[in-house]
Amino acid sequence: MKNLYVVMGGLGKALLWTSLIPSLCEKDEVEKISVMSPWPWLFEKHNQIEGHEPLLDFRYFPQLEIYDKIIYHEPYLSDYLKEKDQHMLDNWADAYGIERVSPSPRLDPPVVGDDCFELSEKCDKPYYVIQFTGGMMREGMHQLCPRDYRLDLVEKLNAKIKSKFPNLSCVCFRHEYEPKPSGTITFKSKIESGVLGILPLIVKSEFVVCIDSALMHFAACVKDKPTFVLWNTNQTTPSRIGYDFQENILCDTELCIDTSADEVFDIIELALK
Amino acid sequence: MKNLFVVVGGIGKNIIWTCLINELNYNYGQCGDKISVMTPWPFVFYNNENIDFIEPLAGFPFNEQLTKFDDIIYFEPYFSDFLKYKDKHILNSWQKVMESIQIFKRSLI
Repeated sequence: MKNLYVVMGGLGKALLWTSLIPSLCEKDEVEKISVMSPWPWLFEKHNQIEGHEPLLDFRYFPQLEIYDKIIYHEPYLSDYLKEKDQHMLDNWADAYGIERVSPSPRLDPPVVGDDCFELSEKCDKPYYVIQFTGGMMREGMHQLCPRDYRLDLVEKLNAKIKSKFPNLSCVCFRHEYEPKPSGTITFKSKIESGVLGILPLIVKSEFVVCIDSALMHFAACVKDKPTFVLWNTNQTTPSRIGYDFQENILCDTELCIDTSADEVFDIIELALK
Repeated sequence: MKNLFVVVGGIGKNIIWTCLINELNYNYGQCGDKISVMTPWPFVFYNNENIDFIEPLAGFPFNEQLTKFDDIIYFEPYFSDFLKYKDKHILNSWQKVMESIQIFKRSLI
């Protein structure tokens, strides 16, 4: 079967979906499947992806006749909304009729040139990577979704890390229009696919601190990278979209992540010992 | 069975989807239940006696108020085989999938 799978939504969600590619190939009895998504560069080098189709409108498209089926399942418009502890990957797997798999996103290989991204200043010391903002990204457009982010928490945490590990720099994965924590180096992609440049930076980093965001999913692609994820469980939970091999720090206050910088720092320090 | 059908897209698409309501109630409304709808255009369904609940489009978190539904069902013609058939009517695209879901569910019962 030559099927085309449609994957909509944000970059992190599409990354998570890559965990299913081997099982989908097996179900369809093919070596490679094809994808329609807003993130072509995420899939174009994947060794089990045959082709990528751009998002289309509602018209008839003869080039899609090559596919036996066009398959789209959207967890955010499904039973997933009413299942408190169901992982998004399980929701997809059930809908596709395949065995559930552990979340293990994969990029194959993310090659971007140095001219596609830049750091706001030179980083020649060891460093860690943070992301504390995120967007509701739809159809490839970046829209900031102010959800539960606390700049004061990030500032306090960075100050504590700086105090204990003065030789560590901090690289912040953020858009220019998002808040910039003091004393951090901004990772900036010059073109949309330049965001893939964060992956080699994660590989070389000491650790990652983030919220439920694209950086969390990128870090999950890097084996054994210490990753600390701050969750507001009123919004999302690791059991629904996270990874059990990352260090998940939970809080359940209504409006924002109310975990103390001391608590996060203690967990980081303990894990790095 | 209390089923919630999701219809997204334009107002016209929602209006044409109303053609399916009677058939969906017949197929899904066992025990006299009526179907419910989640839509960005609630007023299209106001006063429709064949619709039980009208739900607003939800965000991504777990939504307690949706636990009253047995199934949340969404099929999007614009991300389906509809794109590769030149003369297929959008209603037929919806119907075909809804029938297959129904057959699948019956087979489970």
